[in-house]
Amino acid sequence: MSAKRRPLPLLLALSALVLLPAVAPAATVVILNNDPAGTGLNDPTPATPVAGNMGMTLGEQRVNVLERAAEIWADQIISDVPIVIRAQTADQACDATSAVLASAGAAVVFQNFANAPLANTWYHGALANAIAGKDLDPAEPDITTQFNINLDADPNCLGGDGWYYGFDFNQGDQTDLLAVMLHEYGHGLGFANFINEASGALFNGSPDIYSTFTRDLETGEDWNDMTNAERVASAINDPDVVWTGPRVTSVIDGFLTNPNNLVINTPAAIAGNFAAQGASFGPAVPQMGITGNVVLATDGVGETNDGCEALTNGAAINGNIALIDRGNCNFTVKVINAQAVGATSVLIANNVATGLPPMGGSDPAVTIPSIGIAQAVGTSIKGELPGVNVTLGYDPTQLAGANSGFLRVHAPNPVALGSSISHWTIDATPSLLMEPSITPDLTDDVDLTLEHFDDIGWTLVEIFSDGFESGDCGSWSVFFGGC
Amino acid sequence: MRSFLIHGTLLLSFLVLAAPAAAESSASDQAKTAPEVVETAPATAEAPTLTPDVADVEAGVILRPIVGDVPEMPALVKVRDAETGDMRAPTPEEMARLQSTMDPLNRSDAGLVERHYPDGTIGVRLDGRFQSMSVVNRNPETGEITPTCTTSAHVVSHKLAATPEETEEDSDVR
Repeated sequence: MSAKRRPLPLLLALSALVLLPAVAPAATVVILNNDPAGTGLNDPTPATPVAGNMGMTLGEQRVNVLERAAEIWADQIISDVPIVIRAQTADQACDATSAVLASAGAAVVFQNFANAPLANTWYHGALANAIAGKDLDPAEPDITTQFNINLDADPNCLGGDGWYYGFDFNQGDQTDLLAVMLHEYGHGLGFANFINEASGALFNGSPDIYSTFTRDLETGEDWNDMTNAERVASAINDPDVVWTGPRVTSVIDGFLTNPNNLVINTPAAIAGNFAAQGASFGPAVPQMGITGNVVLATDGVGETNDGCEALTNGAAINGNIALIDRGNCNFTVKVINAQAVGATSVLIANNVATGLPPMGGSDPAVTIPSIGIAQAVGTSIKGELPGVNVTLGYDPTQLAGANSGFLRVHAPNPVALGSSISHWTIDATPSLLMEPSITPDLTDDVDLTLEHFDDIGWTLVEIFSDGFESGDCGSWSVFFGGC
Repeated sequence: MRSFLIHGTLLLSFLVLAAPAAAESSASDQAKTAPEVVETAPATAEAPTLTPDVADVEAGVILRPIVGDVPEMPALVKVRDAETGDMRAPTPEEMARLQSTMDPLNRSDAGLVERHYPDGTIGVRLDGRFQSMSVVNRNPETGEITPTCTTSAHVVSHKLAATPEETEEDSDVR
């Protein structure tokens, strides 16, 4: 997730509050501790403060993380009604390599409340309260959440590394509870529909505010106007399902970057512009691009072009672009092996017919750029070697994650493989908080989720270049404490 | 911004009709912390008996049950024993763990209750359904354990029982 557009939103917000004491708090968050005494959120085990989390027991540190995640949101949205979150730990599935981490969501939904922008349309409880100006169901929380206590309690759970309770998103081998909760609270505040994607059915027969802005570009229909069968079909219609909210749409051109591409310059028989996946590790491809001749990497062991062992044709690769097949080892290992013999950059060719290699991982030892390319493109290049000249670069005609000027939502096929529709696409660059993968590069920047919240009806705390806050009604609200 | 922590014990609402798991669960023969769910049968949605509490009566709230959409989640669950490979009913401990894992991913409105307020507001308490859940598994290509958020019960059961090959195909690590 990028921090480039709002580099210091929280810091500026806090500064403004100090300088302008008349400003009302953006929102108030109440955490209901639902754990019994002595366990979970009340665990008295002594703990050492970590990265801004000053809790002196495990229970205190866990609570502090839940509060910190809530604060990051509540500093940027406005509500006169306290946002109530019921929180608890839970004994959930976990083994050495997989686990349920946490869950969260709206606890209540409302329609036809006072000031509701759209009639007969479901709104998330916290949002409905904020718009109505009162707690519509005081007996219920607005959001519920739980997280898996076994990450700390079971030494066999994810290698026994445990939860990370620091506030600096520097979790190392641990799992960052703050990043997970920041994402999950986003769903509870409004980044989710209430449609059953298995059947296509609307919640209790009425549309919801999220689906109001969900459209299938292929059919031209909005989700609330579709039949159940049409919604089921649309839920897997990547890349044609988009968010049409005007605020998000108005800012993506300045936020999303151009996606990586590969241009084959020669020979003419295979020349062209092809999609590519940038890597999460190593340096990005420079804006000017990298041009060079391609050499197929050989390691002489097993699948000899997978680059998983030291390369045996280093002299040929030196100063050129290495082509390596996906599979059998980490992407970082392949790139480091090519780097060791002087490659300027690396192309990873997919080993399955569809899509691009995901190019994830991290290793500070990587110092050259790399991209993933489609299997067919890799096959074409191999068929013309030697004598293939390419340029790794960016496609200026595209925005990574957009379609026809709209930001895409996640609509993979089959629907069971993804958290469909209620997330941004995984193709957005920079990565976004509300993508289904909670990437390790998270900060407290909530990126386009704020514009999304504006679309569905939240009033935002906006930070202007002079450091003043404003709600949507104008900067004068700073001095009078509200709109 | 202010935040408050209220210590207290609130009754956790458990969904009792729905039960975990997806019929398409992986056939992995590896021993798992969570039992592999291998056979399921549909649940039957029944309208609950509604008894307004005092607060609802005083507020003029009218309760109406939602018959609703057919539940996505099945009611009957069998698991494959990790040691014998035989199918069996889950132990109470296994059932409780599966229940806590899968209930939040129930995306059916069946059995919930509409609350009609005198001013025209209609509300529904979701009883822990329609939640989003973060799950992880280690990607064999990247070595990373990256949380992935999902709203699908199938995804959770799939990821928690995935073979390395399946995990690679599932990867959406950036």
